Amino acid sequence: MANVLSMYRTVKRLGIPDSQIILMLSDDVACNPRNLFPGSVFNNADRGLDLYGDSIEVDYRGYEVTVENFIRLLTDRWGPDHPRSKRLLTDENSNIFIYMTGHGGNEFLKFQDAEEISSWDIADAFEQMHEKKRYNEIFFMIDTCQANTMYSKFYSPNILAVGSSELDESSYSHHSDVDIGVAVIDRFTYYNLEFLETIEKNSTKTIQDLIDSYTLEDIHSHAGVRTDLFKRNLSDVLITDFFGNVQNVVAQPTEDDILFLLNHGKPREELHEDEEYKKQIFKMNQSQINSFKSNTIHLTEDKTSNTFRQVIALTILLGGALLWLTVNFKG
Amino acid sequence: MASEQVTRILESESLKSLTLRRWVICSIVALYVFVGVPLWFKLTEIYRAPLPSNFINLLHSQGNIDIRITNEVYLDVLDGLKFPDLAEAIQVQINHRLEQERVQSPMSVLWNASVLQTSEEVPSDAYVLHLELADNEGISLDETQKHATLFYTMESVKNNDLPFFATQAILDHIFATERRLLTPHKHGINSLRYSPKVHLSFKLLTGDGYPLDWEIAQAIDEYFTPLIQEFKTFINFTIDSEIKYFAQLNLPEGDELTLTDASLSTVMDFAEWDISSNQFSYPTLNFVLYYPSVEQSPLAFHDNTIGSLHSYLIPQWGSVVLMENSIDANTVISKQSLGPLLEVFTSELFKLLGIPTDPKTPQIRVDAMKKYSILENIDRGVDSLVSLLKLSESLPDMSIPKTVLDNVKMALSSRQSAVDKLNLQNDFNGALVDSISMVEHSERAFFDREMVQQTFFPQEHKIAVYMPLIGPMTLICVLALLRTLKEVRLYNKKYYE
Repeated sequence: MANVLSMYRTVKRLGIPDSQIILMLSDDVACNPRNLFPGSVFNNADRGLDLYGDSIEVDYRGYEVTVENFIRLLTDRWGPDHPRSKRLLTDENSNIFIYMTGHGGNEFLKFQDAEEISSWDIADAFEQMHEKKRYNEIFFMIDTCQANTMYSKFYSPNILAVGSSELDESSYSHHSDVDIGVAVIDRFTYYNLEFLETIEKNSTKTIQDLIDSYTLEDIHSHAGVRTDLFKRNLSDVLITDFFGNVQNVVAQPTEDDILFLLNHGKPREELHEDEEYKKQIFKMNQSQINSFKSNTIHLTEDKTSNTFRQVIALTILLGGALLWLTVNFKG
Repeated sequence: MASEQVTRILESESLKSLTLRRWVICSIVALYVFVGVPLWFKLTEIYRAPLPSNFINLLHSQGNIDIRITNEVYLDVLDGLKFPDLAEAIQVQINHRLEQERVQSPMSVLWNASVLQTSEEVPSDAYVLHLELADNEGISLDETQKHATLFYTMESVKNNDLPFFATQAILDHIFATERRLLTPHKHGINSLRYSPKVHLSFKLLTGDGYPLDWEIAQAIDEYFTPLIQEFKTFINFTIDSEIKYFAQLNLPEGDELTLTDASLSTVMDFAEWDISSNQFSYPTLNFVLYYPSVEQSPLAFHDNTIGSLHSYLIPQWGSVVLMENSIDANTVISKQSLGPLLEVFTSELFKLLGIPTDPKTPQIRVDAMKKYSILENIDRGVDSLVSLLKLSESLPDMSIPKTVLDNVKMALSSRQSAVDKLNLQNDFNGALVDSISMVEHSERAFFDREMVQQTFFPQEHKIAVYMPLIGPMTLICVLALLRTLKEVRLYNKKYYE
């Protein structure tokens, strides 16, 4: 639980809005009456970091978290009345970060009490996503026992996968909180979180740095990485490519007369004032090429109606290409 | 040993009952093999609707070879002059040039412009080329409607240059953008994918908590209505507005800072503004007017162009206009002052929708985009269908319900209808509607909720699932059959000896 919430916290802190995060929690620990600290989930026994926080948006909770729903989520196969906020609406430009944790084994991960998802299920779902161009790149992270087996069956391109432990190897919890009586977080996730807490939105740290930070002393198991499906070099892939939302902002000159032009012809007082002003804006282009003296502005009266026709003449009939074509055609 | 058994059997059972028992066993086994197994196989079979794979693959490989786009241009000769055969001459010229260009840079569809002499009936939204006598040759595009004026001299009439000029005017000016859009090119990343419905959300954000108001509703009624009208056949807009208080900018602490384009992406943290809306099943574009709080103002901009608004386009999300100074408490922003703002937002809206920036005439731009969207929709639909085919081939155990087939058929018939409307009727609005329906049906076919791995079992799972039922039955049948055969053999042996 704290595993997932720590990832949730990271991506949210790095600027991904809730609308773009799908959080599936199979158990509501924070609001469980047996929780000594109601409404909170901590990553550490020192309780410095409340992962549950003030605003959290859980999309799938409790028994909604099923293998079927997870596969439906990935492949977007829902009934027509499924809310948009609970769907993974991605396209071919989207980078997707998928984090899974729970009880796992050789090529499976347990869901709830009776279900499990196999590595083939996920691999096929990814292939369907690839087929329908639903992602650009996927970063798949899994923290279970024998986690590395889970991504062994993937076959779609542009997927980067990391896992916490090898085949026949357990993934260990970090420590147990004696007050609560349970282990709160797993080692792999704990050290991921520790690394990611140092990342800011403008950070230039790469995925390679993250992977280099995994050590056997910390994690107590062999973290695995699968890069053969992934095209880019890991040291070129920023952490924020997957964990953050560095929104591109474009400052471009804007046009200021589209509405004016569309409003034209409908007599309105404000617009008439503008019209006088507009008439003085000409775009002049004076070039002469041989006999085609091209020029510019013809302020004419509209022949059909009495209102002035907006004429801002852009001149034309220019250019060597044109001349060439003439010659060409005539020749 | 064997004979003892036979004797025992014969002693315990009459020959008649022995025969009967054999018959019973045989009939049960026969029932099992000839009725039960086929029935079980049939009933648990995965239904896979036969998809018209050949046709879809053909469409995919051939591209839009069957689509022809024809634009009608009306010629209107002013000044009382008459050129009875000008339209034909221009047509010949246009055809010739298009023929040449088709070899050099093929467009994704067959494209043509047909030139018509003006009759009494010129539709109000038609392309019109006016010919006007002047001192020089020149062309001017009307910016408010789809009209263009070609100025010519008597000299050019004498030299028979007029058809050439008209061709230039039509191909290189009126339809330049459209022709460029329809040649294969890469889709910009800033713009949304075409959606028949788009939600526009106008938001006034301020860093402070003082009450504010803006006459956005009136301003939209006043200035925005013609735009909505113009887009009516292309995109249906829904609009809402909202005022949010205490929306802070993430300004770094300390010194004088200047907002550069690079720093803006972290300064404007709209994830924190809590204005993302997910209430619609179609995309939302946000248009934000932002007033900084008193403490943070005035904002220092890197490029201080006086008089213009500082507007920033956020790809696929919307646009933000940052004001330099904070706003006084209890201000009502008037309709008139929202005019320029709406102009900026409209310009950004055009960019967000991927509408080209030239020519100036909005109608021509929207028209070009409309045609592009039709083709894009058709391509997208065909793409989805091809993906569906590949999927159904790669997962042979997945069921393909009848609804998928129905949707595929609907998608193909929508495509046909769109193509007919384009080719035969020049009905672009109708074709757009059909192309939208094609995309919808093809996506519905691909995303059919039944086609999820968890709702079907692979073949080897099937036997495992039915093992508790089949296992005991098979065991009993097989053992009984074996025993009977053995009995028969022994009996015969003994009997004939």
